[in-house]
Amino acid sequence: MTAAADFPGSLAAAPGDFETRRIVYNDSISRWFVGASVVWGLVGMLVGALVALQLAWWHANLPPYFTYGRLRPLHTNAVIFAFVGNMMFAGIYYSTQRLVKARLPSDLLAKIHFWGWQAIIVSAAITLPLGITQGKEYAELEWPIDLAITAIWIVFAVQFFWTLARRTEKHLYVAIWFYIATILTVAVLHVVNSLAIPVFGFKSYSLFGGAKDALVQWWYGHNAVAFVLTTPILGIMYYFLPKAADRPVYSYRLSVVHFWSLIFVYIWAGPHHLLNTALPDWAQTLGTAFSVMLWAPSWGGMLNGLLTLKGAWGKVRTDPVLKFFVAALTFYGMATFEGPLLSFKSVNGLAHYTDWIIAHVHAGALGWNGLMAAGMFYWMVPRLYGRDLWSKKLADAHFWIGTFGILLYVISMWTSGITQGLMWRATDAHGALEYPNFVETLNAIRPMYWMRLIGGSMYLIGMFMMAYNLARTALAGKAVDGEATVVVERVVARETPWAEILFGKPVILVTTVTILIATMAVVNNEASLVLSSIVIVVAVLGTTALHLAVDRSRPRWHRLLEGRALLFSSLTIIAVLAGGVAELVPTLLVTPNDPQILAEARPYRALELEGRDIYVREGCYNCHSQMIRPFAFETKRYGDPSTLAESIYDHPFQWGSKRTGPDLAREGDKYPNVWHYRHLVDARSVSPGSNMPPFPRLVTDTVNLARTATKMHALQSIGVPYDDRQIAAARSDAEAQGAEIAKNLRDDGVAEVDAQSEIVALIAYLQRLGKHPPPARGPDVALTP
Amino acid sequence: MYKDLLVQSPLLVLPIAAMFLFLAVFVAVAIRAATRSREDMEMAARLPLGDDHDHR
Ligand code: HEC
Repeated sequence: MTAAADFPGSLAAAPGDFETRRIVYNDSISRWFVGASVVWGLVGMLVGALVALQLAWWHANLPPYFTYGRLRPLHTNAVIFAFVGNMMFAGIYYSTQRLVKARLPSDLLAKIHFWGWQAIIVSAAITLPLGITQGKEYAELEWPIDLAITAIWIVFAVQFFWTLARRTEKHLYVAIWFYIATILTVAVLHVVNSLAIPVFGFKSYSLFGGAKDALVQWWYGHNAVAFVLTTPILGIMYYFLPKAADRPVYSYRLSVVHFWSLIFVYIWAGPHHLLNTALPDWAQTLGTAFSVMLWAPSWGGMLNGLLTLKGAWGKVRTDPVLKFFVAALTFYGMATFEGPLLSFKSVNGLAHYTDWIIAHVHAGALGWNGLMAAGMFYWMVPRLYGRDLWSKKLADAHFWIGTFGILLYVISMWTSGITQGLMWRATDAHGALEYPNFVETLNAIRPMYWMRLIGGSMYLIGMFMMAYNLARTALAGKAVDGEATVVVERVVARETPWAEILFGKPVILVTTVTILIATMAVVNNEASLVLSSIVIVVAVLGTTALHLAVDRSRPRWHRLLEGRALLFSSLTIIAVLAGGVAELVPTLLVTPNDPQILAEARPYRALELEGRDIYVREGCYNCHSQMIRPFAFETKRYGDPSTLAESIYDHPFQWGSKRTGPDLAREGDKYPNVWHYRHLVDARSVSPGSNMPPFPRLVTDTVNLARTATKMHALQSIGVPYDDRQIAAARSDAEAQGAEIAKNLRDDGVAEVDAQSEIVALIAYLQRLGKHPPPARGPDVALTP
Repeated sequence: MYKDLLVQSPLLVLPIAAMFLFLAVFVAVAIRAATRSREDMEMAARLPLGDDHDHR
């Protein structure tokens, strides 16, 4: 057979079998998404600048709605899902239509996708400041919004795969693979991590608790980085960079390897967010191993991009688009080198909970995502509006101020993170902590907080320049839609039947090996490991050899696969699911049966539970961890290392990821109630120099105890061992505990205290942290400690 | 080391097996990519280029 057979769509046929068709692309959708991305990018980064200011200067907190704990989730969600989200939709729609030579099939779906997504963003911008949150990072939005996200994502997927189905170019370019992986994986991640039991219209509890919730959350969180901030943007890079440079990608072979290795490896690396915690060791080790492996595909991709410009470097100097792409790839390389480094337990021990991580994510978000977005916009908008960019000079200025801004940001946060990390662990000759007062370590980094604000603001100014430049370009031009002429066959070429693909060698190989391993696992755990490794090696070598030896003229398996969007998608999802399942299932299934854990654990009393909900609502977890790591310097400061038992009934878990303030896992009994009272109203009154926001409204707002029993009932249904008696007595128990705390506060000199005020509930929760009340014995003892 | 791991739960054979499987797939993909014909690759790589009329 000839080479044409490798391209089922371009089978040699009689001249009469072809017709010429004109395609006008739907570029309106890309114009809208670009506009939305720019607007939300400005909003998200403005909020970023505000939260940066709040950390440097606490007066910028405006309680109750605009405190750091409520705004930080707004900032992260806006940048990830509104700025990068809209940018990615713009790029995917623009490039996909052109790569597969087909117009989007439905203008209606396009409109629903666009307006639906903007409505979700607006609802996030409203609910997050209101304190409506699930308390899981980058997944804070409450369940009705989660459902809306699912619906809109399905609309996007339908539109996308429908376009592929109508394509007139059979081969799927590598960018499309990245998009497919994005669409499918994000769907899985979002659904699994959002599993929650709704209690009220805008309140739910995560289905998972404690370590399980932590593992699911960071499997999600890490892969949100992978499949929202990385894979779609890599796809965009593989399309727009060659276009802007007017030369094909450096190595298509490398891009194939890049794709498969990236999606196979990424899905595993989540536990590197939980190193040195109470998470089982094996999961931590897996996280480290895969993170280190991730370095290779990441750099493969970066080099593939940069080498594409081989021989075109002269162009980079004059073309702002290429300048942005090159800088973006460089930051991608930097961030993906730093990531594996941070995944080593020892480095992580220093860096985790500090601003080093903040430096890392901003190298990624501002450097890689932000600069890629800018490059893509500067390339696309002139073409979408049929005129040259309004000002190349302004784009150059944006480039320099933006890049300088990132560097300032990243350097200040590195300095801050390492400084504070070292101070936390510093001990004197006698082994005592050198800086026992947390505020001392905070004051040491305050200058860095100001420098970060300056760096971030410079970047924001660059964004405003871009918005202005793009707006002038659009206003001076007029909307034009791309067109193409394609030659298509009148009769659809016969594709290789499914059976041939399904029973192709790679599928058979993988299935056989899996079955073998599964069988052996059942028969004998230990022997199976050695055996299965041998089997795999033999099978791989054998099949490869066989494959190389057989008739080379038959259509290639992988080529057929690429022509088969659906099958390709299934394999991608299997790849991704296999990683997720293999990692998650053992944890999800094993932990709850551990009798020792269950013996130690005790659910919260009614009022403590209400206090915990306030803790989640106020976003305290954005500044406080509840996870003491097994380091001497840490146990000296905070007490014994945290155990799995202590958080097993925490839905959602509150281990946290950043210590702007101290760890609270063993906060109970550390201070008297009145200390907490004064501290929560205004932290400076008892802790001079603190940057914790003031929460005066907690004093006047009261807890609605009529709803407590319903909440406990919901938790009971997902495995928290409340008995019906406790639930029935929820209200009286909460009132009793509240009265006790209120009396104690009054005794200590607080004038007016409402026993049902939120501050009393929150204090009840804080005083419970790290405490193990004795097990419930009889009906009377059960409710009063 | 494996023994220690498996004592915790036989289910832990899952991640280990999957990891080996992934390594195998990686090797297979790498070999496939390396052995594909130059024309195929060049044709695919050129897909983004010259796909559109530039209206500027
Ligand atoms: C902007 C970050 C930030 C937020 C948000 C925040 N805190 Fe703090 N918190 C701090 C800092 C910094 C300290 C250490 C200085 C001090 O004692 O105020 C601290 C200290 C504390 C302490 C004393 C810890 C100790 O052992 O000394 C408690 C308790 C506390 N915070 C509770 C809360 C609660 C409850 C919330 C949510 C309602 C909250 N914090 C929100 C930053 C924050």
